[in-house]
Amino acid sequence: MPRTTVHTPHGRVDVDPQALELGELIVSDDGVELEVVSLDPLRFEPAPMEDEDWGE
Amino acid sequence: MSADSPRIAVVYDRLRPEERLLFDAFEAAGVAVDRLYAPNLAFDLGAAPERRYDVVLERCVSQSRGLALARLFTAAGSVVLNRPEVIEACGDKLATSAVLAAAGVPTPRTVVAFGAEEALARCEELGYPVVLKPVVGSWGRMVSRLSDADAVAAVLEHKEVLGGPAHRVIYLQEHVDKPGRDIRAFVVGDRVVAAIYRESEHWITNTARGGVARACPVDDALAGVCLRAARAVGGGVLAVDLVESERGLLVVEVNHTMEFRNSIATTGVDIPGEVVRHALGLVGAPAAATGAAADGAWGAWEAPPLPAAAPPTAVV
Repeated sequence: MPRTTVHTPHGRVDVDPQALELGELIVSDDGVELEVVSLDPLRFEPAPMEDEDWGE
Repeated sequence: MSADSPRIAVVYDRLRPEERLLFDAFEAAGVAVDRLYAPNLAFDLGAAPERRYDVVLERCVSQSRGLALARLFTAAGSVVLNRPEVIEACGDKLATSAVLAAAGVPTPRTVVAFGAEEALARCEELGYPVVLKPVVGSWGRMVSRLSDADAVAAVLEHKEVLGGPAHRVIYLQEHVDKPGRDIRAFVVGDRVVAAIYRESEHWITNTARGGVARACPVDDALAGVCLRAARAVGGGVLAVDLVESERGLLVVEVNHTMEFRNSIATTGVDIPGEVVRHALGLVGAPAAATGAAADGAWGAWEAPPLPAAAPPTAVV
């Protein structure tokens, strides 16, 4: 599947829409870490900062 | 997939390499898995579940979200890895210390205080340096090694000013002078499937913080302590962190949503494959393409005989 350039308010990302998964992190060309929050329509949001109850 | 195939889901909120590896491992086992992105989920508690799963792997980065989902899927009749009780026991260092102490699992000496004056007095008993940790927190964040009473007083003042429930509980631990490394062991069901040394010049050795992983042999002593710790928190799929000390192996914490990306190549063990075999074993499904024997169903814990329990080391 060809890669597609998606323009977001937080910069441009170059992705293969068929290979994306919800929850995946992508870094835009502006250096913003974006999370895939919807596949159809494709939508990115800035990834939340680490929170108190995260990880291990 | 046949109608008798187990219904499996992985629920997650951040797609890390571990979740991808688990998806791949289920695929390799020939088992379909539903990928449930937690922010897209909602549950009507008065309605029957839209789809019931035999096994749900809870893989949320957010502990509170993961615990809530574990409770909901458990209430809906699914076997959840890990069970809500296990998440509760592992997700709070005080809860972990309490169950480990009650089970006689060796740990660093631990004190929990609720006021600065009492905390300072207890630090004198523990001896300096002393380690101050948040009861909820990860990746070594906000863990402080404090060299004297002035440093402790300063941090406690910060906690007081910052406020919030997490700062009302003061969790102190003796500092164990470890040999530039600690151990992370991976427990799947009733087996310790792999272990790594995490080596670092820094006293915090988490690989997320730059610690370097190296394979650690799993001998009877390590397996015994880890299985006791795993059993104490309720069992399941767990990562047990230990330090080597003059008193032998001490369990520092038990993690319920283990990260293992840096440990597969290091140990040569297919950790996601082990998790998948265990999950399938819980519903009596064959180990499929992996060829390994499935672990017993929950409740059929068959850990090897363990040495006599050491006396609890926690002081409350």
